[in-house]
Amino acid sequence: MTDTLKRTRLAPLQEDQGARFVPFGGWELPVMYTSIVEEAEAVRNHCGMFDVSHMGRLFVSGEKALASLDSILSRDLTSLAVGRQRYSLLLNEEGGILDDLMVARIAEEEFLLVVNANNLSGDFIWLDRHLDPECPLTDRSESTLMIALQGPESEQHLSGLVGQDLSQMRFLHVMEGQFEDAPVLMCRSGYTGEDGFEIILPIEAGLVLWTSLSERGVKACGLGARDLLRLEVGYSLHGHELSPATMPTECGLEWALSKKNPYIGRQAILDNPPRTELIGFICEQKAIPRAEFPVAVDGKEVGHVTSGGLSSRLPNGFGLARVRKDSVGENLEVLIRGKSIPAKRAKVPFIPDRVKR
Amino acid sequence: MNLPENLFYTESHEWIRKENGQVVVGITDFAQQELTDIVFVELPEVGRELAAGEACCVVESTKVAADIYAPVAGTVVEVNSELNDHPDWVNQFPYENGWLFRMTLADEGDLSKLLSGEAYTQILKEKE
Repeated sequence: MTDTLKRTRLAPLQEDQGARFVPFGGWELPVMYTSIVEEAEAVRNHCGMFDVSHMGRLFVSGEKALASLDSILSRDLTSLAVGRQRYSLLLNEEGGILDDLMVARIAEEEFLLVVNANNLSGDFIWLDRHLDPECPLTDRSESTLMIALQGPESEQHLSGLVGQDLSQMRFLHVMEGQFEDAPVLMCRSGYTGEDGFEIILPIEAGLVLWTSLSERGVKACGLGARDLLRLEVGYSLHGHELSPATMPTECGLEWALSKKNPYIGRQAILDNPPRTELIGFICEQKAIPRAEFPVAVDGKEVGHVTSGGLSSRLPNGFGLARVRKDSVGENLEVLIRGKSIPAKRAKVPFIPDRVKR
Repeated sequence: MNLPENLFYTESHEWIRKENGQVVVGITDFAQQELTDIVFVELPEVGRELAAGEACCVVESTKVAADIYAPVAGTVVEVNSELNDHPDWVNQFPYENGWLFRMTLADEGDLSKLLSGEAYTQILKEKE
């Protein structure tokens, strides 16, 4: 059985740029162009662009949108000003993480939710069921493109193309602009730990933006580099670190839970102490600790790797692991293809982020 | 694509050079290009006896860990331990400094089961 994999509208341009595509959550997406290592370096030192159009873009509006979203999402939204965005979680009644997302208040009564591609349809159904019926929910994932421009030189490139001064925009600010006579939504955010923007715009304008950035020398980067960069700063990926079977309290995400307002899943979280935790580790060898590899302490299995990588900025293979709560002290072992590789627990983020605060 | 004529090849993209009754094994230019960014090589132990086709070595790139198979039966006599510090040599010099291991050739007849450069080129063409 072969499912037809979707490609974003940027795929033909990316193919010309030498992209290598891999299947990812129903999509066929560029994992890399020339080299994951080079692409990650470009983002850290200059600037790189990622096509993240596979991600879901849901709009919620209406007089009751704020109150309704606030009662569903884990994060307090009542203090979210227009032009700002916030990381939040969508939990089920059991406190399990259905998805993690960015919620932006783009107008007094209009919100944008950027959700994971894999979870888009499930999120839509969940939101549609729980939102106030007077709050229209619109999926604009197919009528727009989303480009993440990441790295210290991002502002100068985007500012030049949209003809707008973006220097007052800081991390998690959202601003509207124009490009090619089309409306552009610019969010100063990303999934790399570097300064940068996530840009949502109509398809035709998005194709021009990709080409224009390319002509300015911005390197097209694949999801392999994005995954490495996010792991260095310890950002979780749904399906790896987060899942409906894990509660935020088992993922180091207590900070994304509202203390004042009720939200779906809150009671379960209050009732159930966390059984597992997410930890960072660095191996004593260059082999890559890949997802699902077992993690042990003194030869006894205590969990598994959720994501792993090798970075030029860290001495050895590193990663995140889900382990039984309080089972790991300083030392652990990762079973890499049957061999026990010693590792040390490490602070997360492995490398501090450089977003513009 | 660089495919030296004087080597033997396998369908799993190893190259084999016969030298003084032993064989030296590495991965082809095609294989290193497919893997890209080789960051770690797990070499076999010297003295290990291998059956032809046995997985014995891992070449790991940022993307994926690829098993390398013994092209012939024999015993590992030497490994390229320089790769511990320079795994990227497999990308840069797949046929020279990027060699993986040297093994004895228990049965000369195993060589006849390997591919010539021409046959390997044909296989790569069919993949395109």
